[in-house]
Amino acid sequence: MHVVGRQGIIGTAGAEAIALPAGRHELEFRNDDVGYLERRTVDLQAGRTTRLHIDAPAGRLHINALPWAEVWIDGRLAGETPLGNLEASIGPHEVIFRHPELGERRTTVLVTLKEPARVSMDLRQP
Amino acid sequence: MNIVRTLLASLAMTIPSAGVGAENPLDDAKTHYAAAAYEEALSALRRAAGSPDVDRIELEQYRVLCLIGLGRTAEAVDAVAAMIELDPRHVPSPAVASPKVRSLITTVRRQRLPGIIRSVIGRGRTALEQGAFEEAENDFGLALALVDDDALREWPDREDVRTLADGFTALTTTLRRRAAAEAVQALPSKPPAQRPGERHADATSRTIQSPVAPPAGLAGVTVQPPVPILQTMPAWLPPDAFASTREYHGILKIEIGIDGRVKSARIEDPSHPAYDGRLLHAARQWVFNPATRDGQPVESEKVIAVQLHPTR
Repeated sequence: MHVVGRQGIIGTAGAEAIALPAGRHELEFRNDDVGYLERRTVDLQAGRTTRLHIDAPAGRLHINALPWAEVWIDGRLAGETPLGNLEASIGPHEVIFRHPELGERRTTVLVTLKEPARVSMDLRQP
Repeated sequence: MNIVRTLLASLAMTIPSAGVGAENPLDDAKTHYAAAAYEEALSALRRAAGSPDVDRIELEQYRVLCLIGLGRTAEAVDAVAAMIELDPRHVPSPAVASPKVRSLITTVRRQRLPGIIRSVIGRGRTALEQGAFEEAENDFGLALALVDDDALREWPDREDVRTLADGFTALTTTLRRRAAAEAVQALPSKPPAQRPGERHADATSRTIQSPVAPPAGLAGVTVQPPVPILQTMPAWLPPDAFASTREYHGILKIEIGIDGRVKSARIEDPSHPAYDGRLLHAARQWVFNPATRDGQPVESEKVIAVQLHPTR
């Protein structure tokens, strides 16, 4: 997620600390890929580090498999297909499909705020 | 266009732009469903419902799957009920439906099947009272099959209802055999005299032959004759006073296609010139459940004895 100040992109959220002059700053936290934008105002004091915490909002996710599968998202069991309207934080997520006879497949899906993400897997295909 | 955005393209399915170029509305719905586009699949199913050729049970099955996917459980239950009404025996196989889906369907079937079984037995009783033995046997056979359904393992009335359906099946078989024996006895003889005070319909029919022979040399092949759905005889309207006091007999032969419709009808033995033409016209409108050989619809012939009774 980019951190955007008056002068343009000044850093990446979650990376190392961003050095800015003391004073009030209007910052944008944005990720165009997932349709996310949040504005924050921060007052920075000279010689001190100010921490900002951004909660990633949730997008929606539809998952299906043929013929069907047990689905795990980021290592947590989500249920059996068909699955729809699942909430997941924006960003990439690992999805694992498991079928008792057809085995396991995995993929990654990008959850955004733009539209529900859809992912499906045909386990019958080799 | 709905395209799943994936980072591991080597493993992920590419979702096609569902709906483009599909000729069968149900195929369209299946494509959307496979792509987890449940709302779009439901729209496609609504369109498919207007098609006379669509498989209604499969349509309802996909509606169930989409609604479960969307978490619209109450509507999914209604869709399962609709599927059960269409064919109470239908259960999606484990090969196509997840345990979650099958569990919901089993729950609804457990609730609905007892009422359906009672209704089927009631319908069979009515058919039996009307002498429609084939329909009655079909209904009681269906009731017995449903009673043994796994979904009803815990049904407290299961044994009582099975005994009831068994009894009706035996009664129907007995009455059907008796009626067949009487029909055979009556065939070569003169028509029975009308007893004073006894009322008859003005025109009646009786199936005297409905062969669906298994292929030569194939012992053990199961054949079922066609079962009438619509077989209404035209009224006998005698053209003059003389005809109204007489009784006439004729033989009609029809060919029934695998769709249950009459492919051809012809008079083998005329009954009366004023009746045979109308009988042929009516016969071509009749509808049957087609004969089956090992469960597969086959063409068949049916020979029907026609009796025109005195109207005075």
